[in-house]
Amino acid sequence: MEISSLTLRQIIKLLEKGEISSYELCQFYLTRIKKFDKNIRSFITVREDVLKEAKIADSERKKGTKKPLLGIPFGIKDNFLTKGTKTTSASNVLSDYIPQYDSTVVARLKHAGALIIGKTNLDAWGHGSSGEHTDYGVTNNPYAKGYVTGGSSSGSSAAVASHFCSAATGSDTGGSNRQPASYCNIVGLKPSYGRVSRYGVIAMASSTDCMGLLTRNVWDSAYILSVIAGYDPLDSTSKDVPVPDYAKEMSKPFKARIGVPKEFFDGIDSQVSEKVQTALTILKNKGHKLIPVSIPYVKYAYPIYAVVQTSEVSANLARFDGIRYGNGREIFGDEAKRRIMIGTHSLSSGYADKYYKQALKGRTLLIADFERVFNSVDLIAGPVYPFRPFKHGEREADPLKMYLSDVLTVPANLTGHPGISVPIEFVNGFPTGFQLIAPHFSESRMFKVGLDIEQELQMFKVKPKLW
Amino acid sequence: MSKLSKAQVIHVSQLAKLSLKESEIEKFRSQLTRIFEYVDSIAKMKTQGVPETNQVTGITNRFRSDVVNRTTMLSQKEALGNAKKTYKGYFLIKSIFGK
Repeated sequence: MEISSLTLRQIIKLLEKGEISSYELCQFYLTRIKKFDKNIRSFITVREDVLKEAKIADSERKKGTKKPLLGIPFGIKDNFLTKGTKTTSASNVLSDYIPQYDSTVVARLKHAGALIIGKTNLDAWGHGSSGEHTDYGVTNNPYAKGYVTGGSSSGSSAAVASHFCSAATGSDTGGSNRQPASYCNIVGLKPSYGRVSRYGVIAMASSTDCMGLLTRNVWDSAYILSVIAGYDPLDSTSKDVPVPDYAKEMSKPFKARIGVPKEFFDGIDSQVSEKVQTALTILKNKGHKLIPVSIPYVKYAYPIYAVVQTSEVSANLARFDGIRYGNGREIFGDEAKRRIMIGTHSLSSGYADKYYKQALKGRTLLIADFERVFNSVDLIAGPVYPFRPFKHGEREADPLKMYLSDVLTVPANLTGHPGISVPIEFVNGFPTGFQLIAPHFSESRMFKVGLDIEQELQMFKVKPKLW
Repeated sequence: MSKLSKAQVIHVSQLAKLSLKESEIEKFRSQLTRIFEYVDSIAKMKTQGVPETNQVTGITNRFRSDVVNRTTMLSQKEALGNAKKTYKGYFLIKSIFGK
């Protein structure tokens, strides 16, 4: 039995039946990490201690303990605090930071029996769409050496795609889970804002940060979301909305009215567009209704996001002073400095009305635009990235060109709607994704429709040839 | 036009407590100028009378009892655990007013 061909659902079943052990599972992943991760660079910290914890999980299981993720090894994006395990956010500013507490997501995963196999690489502080802005070595796309993974959850995506762990966490501020999922042929989830606690995750832009998942299958994403979602008194923006059993809800029949915004196809690569159209046709053939819609304010989404996000970044990164933890501000990389300065300028006296306040008003109009469309459709669908994976260094020289990678993912962050990226057919050998956006707290709809694409295309069966 | 001057870049870096090298000032000046030229498009949005959206939850105030949560409390040793310089149980910082 080849572990890498098993889905999480199958792994859980085999663990329950005693046909594999958590120890074997962890050993399998650690061996692969040792063999391949020097080239992929998906992990910043690998925890060999996971083997001891796996043994404990195995003996707990023998005693009859039942937990939803007992003995399942996770990759944790290195901006999620992990008690006693170094958390760098991929910046040398935090090169020696050992958190004194767990983020709520990590605490909930542990409570459900999950294990941490390591901390994954990212664009430092979550700033990036390529995985290149890291102080810990640029992550390679497992499907294409020398090409970007997408970001900022670059390491989590590469690790899941490379079968270095069963699933991984990610934070999505402007597309950071959906984008690398799209480029790594996996499923990337950004839940509704307020669905999952942000407590203990190093804040980037507090009003758009959403904690989510990188998984190989839609079912995995739905199943794990039920574990990490829910109100947390430690995050005042988490919402007290009941958490459904998403994996169970997914199996209920659902024929959706899917809005396809013409603005999502403006200026995107024709081959990417073609593959997205193929996925739309699959959904149509499965009985979903496609409805052309227009969301005019989408064209302002990126500039609005640029102002809102960097303003919040400048405030959030102000706490890093090297006094209570970490190193001094002189160590910030160029990308952090750039964003701090864009934000500081947008908020500064004489410019706040022109930039920050105007962006907040524009955000209101964008939300209204989406709500209007959601009055007549159940979901919105489109591409994730406007183009296929690019080579390392190709966009780095021009920050604006890099930022424009985010145009199709930032709208859902500004509106707080949940979004998912589901793998579709490759473009010239490069993975690509299909994006679904749902009304607030309607994640189940995305899972159901995403599953229809997954069942038809079965892209999870296509594995990378690591080197 | 949003051409940023060298003085503006220096001003912003000082507000943000970032010390830039001479070579960085010009690099960031030209990059920020290009980014703000793009961002300037938001001026075209008709926003008169439109309220601002700071956050999307609809939650206004959230209250809790004013009691100590011992599960999230750090001991003095833990709180100081990551500090580079401490003195008798305090964080040690550089003097603010000079000698």
